[in-house]
Amino acid sequence: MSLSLLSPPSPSSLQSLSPSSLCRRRDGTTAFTMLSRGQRYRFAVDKDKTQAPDMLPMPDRLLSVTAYTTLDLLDGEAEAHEFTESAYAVVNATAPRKQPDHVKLEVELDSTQLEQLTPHADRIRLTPEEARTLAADLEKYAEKVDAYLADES
Amino acid sequence: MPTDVERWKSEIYGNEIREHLYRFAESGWESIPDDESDAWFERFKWWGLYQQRNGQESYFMMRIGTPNGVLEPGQTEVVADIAKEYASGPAENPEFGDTYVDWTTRQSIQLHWLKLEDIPEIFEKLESNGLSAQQACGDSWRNIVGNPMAGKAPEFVDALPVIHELNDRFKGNEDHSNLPRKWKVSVTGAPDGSGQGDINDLAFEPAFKEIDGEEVRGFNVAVGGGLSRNEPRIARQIDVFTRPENAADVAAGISALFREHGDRENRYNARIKFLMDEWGPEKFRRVLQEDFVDFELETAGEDLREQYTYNAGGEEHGDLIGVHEQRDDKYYVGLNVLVGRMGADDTAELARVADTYGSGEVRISQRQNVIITDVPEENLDALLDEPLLENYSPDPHPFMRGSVACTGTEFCSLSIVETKNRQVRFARWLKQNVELPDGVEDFHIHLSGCTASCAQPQIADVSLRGMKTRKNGEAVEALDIGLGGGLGENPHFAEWVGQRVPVDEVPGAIKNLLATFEDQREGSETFREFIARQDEDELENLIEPEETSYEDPMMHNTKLTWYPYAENDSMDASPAPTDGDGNPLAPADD
Amino acid sequence: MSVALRILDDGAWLSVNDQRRVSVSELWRVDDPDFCDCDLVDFIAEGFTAVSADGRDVAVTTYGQCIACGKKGVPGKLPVGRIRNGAYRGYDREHMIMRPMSGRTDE
Repeated sequence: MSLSLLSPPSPSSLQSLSPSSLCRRRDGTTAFTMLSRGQRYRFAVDKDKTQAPDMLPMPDRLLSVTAYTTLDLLDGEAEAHEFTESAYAVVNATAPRKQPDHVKLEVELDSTQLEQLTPHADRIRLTPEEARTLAADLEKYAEKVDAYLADES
Repeated sequence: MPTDVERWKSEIYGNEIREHLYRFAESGWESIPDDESDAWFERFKWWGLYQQRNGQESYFMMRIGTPNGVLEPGQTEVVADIAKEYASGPAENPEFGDTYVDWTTRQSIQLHWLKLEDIPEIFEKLESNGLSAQQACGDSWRNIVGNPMAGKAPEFVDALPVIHELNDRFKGNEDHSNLPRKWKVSVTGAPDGSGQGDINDLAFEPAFKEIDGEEVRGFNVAVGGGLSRNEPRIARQIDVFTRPENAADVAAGISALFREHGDRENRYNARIKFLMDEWGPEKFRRVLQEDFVDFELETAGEDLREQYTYNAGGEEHGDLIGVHEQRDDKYYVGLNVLVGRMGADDTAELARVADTYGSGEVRISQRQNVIITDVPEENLDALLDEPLLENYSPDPHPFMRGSVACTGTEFCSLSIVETKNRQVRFARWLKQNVELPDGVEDFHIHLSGCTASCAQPQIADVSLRGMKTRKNGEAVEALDIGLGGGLGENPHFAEWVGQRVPVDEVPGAIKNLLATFEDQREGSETFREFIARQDEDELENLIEPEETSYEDPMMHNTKLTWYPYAENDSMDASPAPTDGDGNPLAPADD
Repeated sequence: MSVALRILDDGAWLSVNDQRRVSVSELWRVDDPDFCDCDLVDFIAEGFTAVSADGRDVAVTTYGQCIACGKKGVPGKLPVGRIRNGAYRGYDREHMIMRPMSGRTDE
C-alpha cells in the first residue's frame, strides 16, 4: 500500500465531507481516502477487495517457520552457472527432537520469488564438533564485519 | 494505515446498514458470508446489536437508547414484553432466571440472547412505540444522558428540551453517523451534577453569565471525559458558555471537529480525550471557533459545581433513590435495582405500578436504578405498600443501594471476570456480616469486569476491577481494589491500592476496611474524606484481604466456559451458533 | 492465498479469517526476562493492540500483567498460532511457553 497526503480540506467544505470513502480507479485499482487527524490521506490498494494491513501471501514452504526458527527474512541468493536468483531466506539450526544424534542446518529460499528453481529446502547434518567449528567461523566473521561497519560510520 | 473497521464503515455504515440487517435476518444468521462476518457484526453495532461472546455466537445483546433515560407511559411494558418473548437463551441465570432487563449506567436498556432472525419483529415493536436501538452502539452519538429527573425535579436550567433537540438532530444524521469512535454526551440542568458530565466526551453543565446586562442561564461546555482503558479523564472546560437554544449548534461544531480531527488510524487513540490531551483546551477552542462554528462563542460563565452532590461521596445520598418532590407538587420515587438487572415479569409489574400510581412514566438513572415519576401525594402510601418495592426498595440497605456492576463474562467479550451475580453475592454477604459506622448511609461499590470500566469503577468508594491471580497454584478470578473515587465539585478517581485480590477474599477486605474506617474516623467525616487524608502507603495498608464465610462458586476462569451458569459449561458443550429457533447449526470449519 | 487477521471489539479478540480465535483473559507463560523479575511471566492478556504475521506465525501485541508479581506492560509480539495451507491452527497456549518474537534470536 502506498500513502500520499492530500491537501487539507478548507473550512467551508467541512460540513459535507465524508470521513472516508472507497473508489475504483480507471486502472482497476482501488483507492481509499480517509480523514484522520485533520488530514485527508489516500491509500492505494491493489486488489478489488481491500485487504487487512497485516496480510501476507502464504508461500509453498517446506521448512515450517515457527517462533523458534533461527532466522527468517534474510537476504539470500541461489547461484547457478546460467543464472542467479535472489529471494528472502530462512535458516534454521536444530536437532531431532527424539534421539538427537546430529545437528541439522536447514536453508530455504522463498519460492514465490524464484522463477528458475523449483521450491526446495537444503539440509546439512553436522556432528557436534562440526557444528562448533561452524559456530566459531561465524563468530570470527561476525567480528570482522562489526569492525568494518564501525570504521565506516 | 486505515483499520479494517474504517474501511468497512466507508463501504456501508449508518442508516443504510438496516436493509442489509433485515436481509440477513430474513435469510438467517448463517447466510452472512463467512468472509464478511466480522464486517457485518461491526456494522450491526450501529443498530444497537452486539454479538455476544465466544460460545454464544449468533446471539445478540440489543441496547435500546432512551434519551435521558425517559420511558414514556406504555414503553416500560413494551420492553418487558420484548424481554419475555425474545430475550431468553439456552441457559438460565441462577439469580435472575430466564428473561431479564438490564438498566445501564448510560440510562439505556440492554436485553440479551436475541436472535438475528427476530430483529425485524423486535424493531417493529420498538419503533411503533417510540423506542429505538439506532446508534446505541458503534462509532457515533450514543444515548444522551443527564439528570434523569430533568423537567420534573428542581433545575437551574431546562435540560430536557436540549436533550431532545440533540437527539432529534444527531440520531440518524448522516454527517455525524461515522465518527472516529463512540461519542458520549451529557446535558445537566440540575445543580446536583447528576448528569455526570465529567466522564463524558461532551458535557453541558449548568451555568450562568451576564450578557448585555442580563443574567442568562445556560451551560458551560467541557470536552474529553471518559474512563476506559486505564486512561480516565475528567472532561476539560473549553471556556465556552452557550444558551440552551444554541447548544445544538455548539454540539454540531464539536462533533464535526471530532469527525475531522480524531485519530482514525489507531482505535486506541481515537477518543476525543486523547485529542484534548494533545491540544489542550485553548487550541481546542480556537480550532472550534475558526473552523467549525460560524458564530462567536461566548466565554465560560459561572458554574454551580459547589452544589454538586450526585455520586460525590458527601453527606447527602445524592442518588435519586427514595421519595422526593417534583416541581409540580407531585413526587418521584427512586427504586433500587441491585446491579441494574430486573426480571422481565418484575419489569412488567413496574410498568403496571407506574401506570397505577403515577403517569406510567419510568426513568432510568446512571446508577442502574429506576424512578417512578408523577405520583400524587395521595398515592404515595399505597405505592410504597406494593410488593414490588420489597425487592426494589426506595429505602434500601446501603450495600444494596451502593452496588453497580457491568455485564461481565456472562455475556461480554472484553470482561475478565464474572460480575453481576458476584456483586449480588457480595452485597448480600456484606449486608449480613458487616456494620457500617454510625451515620454512614452510603457506601458505593462498583464492580467492573475489565478496564473498559462500564460500571464506572473509578468514581466509587470501593472500586473493583476484574483480574486474575494464583491461589494455591490455581489461576482464580481476582479483583483490583481502588479507594476514594467520586464526582462532585472536585471529582477524583480511585487510587488502585489493592492488586489481584482473590474474589473470595474481597468481602473480607471490605469488612476490614470498614472496621479500620470506623476506628480511625475523625468526627463524622465521610469515607471519601477519610480516604482523601491518607497517603499512599497508608492506603495500601487499608487493604487486608481475608477469607471469611463468603464462598464464591465462580473462582475458576469463567471466560473459558461458554456460559458460566450452564450445567455443562465447557466450551465444547456450547450449543452456539444456533438458528432462529435455537437449534444448533453445524459447526464451522476449524 | 491470503489470510485476514484483525483485532476486534476494542481489543477483545484476534480474528483470523472472520473467526474468533484468541481472546483476552487467557493466561500464558512467557519467557521474557525484560518484562519482570519472575523466571517466567505468568501473563494475563488484557487487551490486544495489534496482530502481525511473520512467516507462518501469527503474533499478537497485547497489554497485560504478570499475575505473580503485578508488573504491567506490553511484552513483545507473542506467537499465538500458525497458518499452514491457508488454515489457522492455534498453538496449545495453555501448555507451551511463549517467547516474544522480537527476542527469539537472543539466545
